[in-house]
Amino acid sequence: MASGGSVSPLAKYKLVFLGDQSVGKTSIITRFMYDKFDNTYQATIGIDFLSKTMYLEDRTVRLQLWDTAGQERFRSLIPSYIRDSSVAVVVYDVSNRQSFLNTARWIEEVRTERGSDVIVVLVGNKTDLVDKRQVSIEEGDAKAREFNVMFIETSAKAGFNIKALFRKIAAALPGMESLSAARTEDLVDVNLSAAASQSRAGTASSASTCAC
Amino acid sequence: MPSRSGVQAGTASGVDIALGLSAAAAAALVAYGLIQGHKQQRLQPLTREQWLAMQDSTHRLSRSLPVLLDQVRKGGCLPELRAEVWPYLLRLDSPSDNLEQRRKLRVELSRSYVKLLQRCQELECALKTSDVRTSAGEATAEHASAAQPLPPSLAQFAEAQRIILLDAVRTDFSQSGQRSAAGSGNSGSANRGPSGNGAGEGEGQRLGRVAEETLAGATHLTAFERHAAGRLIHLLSAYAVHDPETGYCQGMSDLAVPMLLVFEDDAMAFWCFERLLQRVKKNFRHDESGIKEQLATLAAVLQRADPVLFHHLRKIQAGDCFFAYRMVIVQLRREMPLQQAMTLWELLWAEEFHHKMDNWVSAGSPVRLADSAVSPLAGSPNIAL
Repeated sequence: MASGGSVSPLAKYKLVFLGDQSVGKTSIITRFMYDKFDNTYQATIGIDFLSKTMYLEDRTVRLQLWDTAGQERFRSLIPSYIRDSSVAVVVYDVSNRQSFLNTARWIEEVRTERGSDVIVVLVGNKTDLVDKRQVSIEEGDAKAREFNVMFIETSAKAGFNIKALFRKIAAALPGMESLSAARTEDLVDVNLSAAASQSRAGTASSASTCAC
Repeated sequence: MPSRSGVQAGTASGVDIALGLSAAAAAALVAYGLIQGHKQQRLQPLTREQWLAMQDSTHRLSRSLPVLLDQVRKGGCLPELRAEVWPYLLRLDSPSDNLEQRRKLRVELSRSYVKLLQRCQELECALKTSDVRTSAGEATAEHASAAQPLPPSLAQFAEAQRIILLDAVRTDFSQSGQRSAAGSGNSGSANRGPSGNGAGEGEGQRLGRVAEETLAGATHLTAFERHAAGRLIHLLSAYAVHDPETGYCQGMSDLAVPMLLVFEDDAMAFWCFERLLQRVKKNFRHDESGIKEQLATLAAVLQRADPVLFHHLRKIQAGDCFFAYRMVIVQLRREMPLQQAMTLWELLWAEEFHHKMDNWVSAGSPVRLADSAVSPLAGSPNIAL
């Protein structure tokens, strides 16, 4: 599936989304795919799949998004979802400390299955819930550094940093090293809102680069 | 993908194969059978006149059960008949019972449901007490990491309820409620409506504090949806107490909503849901062994039924049939409009019951149909608390 070193014209990459229930995995994917948000996404059952083509300079990549269910009950098959993925997106809810604490477990699960042969991104979602925040951006950043993974905060509801998240991932994909930092800005056909641009500038310094 | 499964080589028809599968995987097969011309004769949905004609003067179905099953498996039934027909299909009502006996059964079922709800309330109180004692904050999730662990049954209930609440306010009632009724124009029956008078209310059963808060905070819900979500929380919490081994698993809410819409009475909705769960609960096993088995069976069936399609699936690394995971769990509830899903379910229940009866008849014991084999209360441990 995902090619290792070189990028063929139709390289496919598998991204697996992990994290507790109701942290916003499906919302992030839906915002990225369709640029919309709904308050009533039903619980993901087992596993769900979507794919999207991204245009990168002179080549095209196909991202296959594996949206997992957060409930404990659905976890015994998760290693088989992680097994051949290039990227693991571990999501927590900034207004739910427990979901943040549990990310350690998710990251460890990914490492157990894939070692360092995978890009891991820690995502703190729901930044729109300003009054309910239980996890600061500094804590998120510290945890990302501790585990040597990338980090970003998002709000799928507000459409904040979602495109930035996928741009970050795309830039870190194996074989993408040749893409200049400036060019990676144009990886996705998007118009950034002022808020997203601002925050991207804000988080750029705190975001660690890919460990791979 | 190994092709080990219950599928018989050779003469098995689409329907025979289907019976070896979960209803949802079966549906794909039934659909496939229809395309391939295995289709059995299709009838119009069961009407009120036909339904009444099947009953004797004491409103007993008795020997008409095979006729009912044959009719429903070939055409389903009109939506307004579901509240009466489904309890037979799900083998909650016995065909040998007359109206009076069915009434007694309903009183019994209602009482059992209320007991389950009372148990839920007790557990909620116990949780609240331990909440105060450990002062672990308001989120029940914190209990898991609290220094003093809760007793297992209580922790289990807390976890089930936490997820039930998460799901209740994000369950899709839209296809099913007022909006779709206006569109489809065929579900405006007495079996539906926001003013439920079931066992959940009117007997002093109220939602717990956390549930009340959750519903109050779910401002995106309409009044109808909020009411439905409240009934859903009751039903699912009661089930978690009734079957602690299975507890609550995401996807159950999808299976419960049609029951709540068909049955105005909460207890009937609950017990029919319970019957449905008996059929599918292996899909919810904690180790996912049940669902893995189902998907392997589906793969095996697809491989035989449509080798070209299966070859393609393997080529794109989908031979494991993970794509059907949700389809199986929610019995295609999310894959098709509500009314169609309901029709599919009743077709499958009737089909399976019909085949079971055939087997009984060929085994020389047709009387079993009319006796305790189908009575939910006769020696059944399911209602015991």
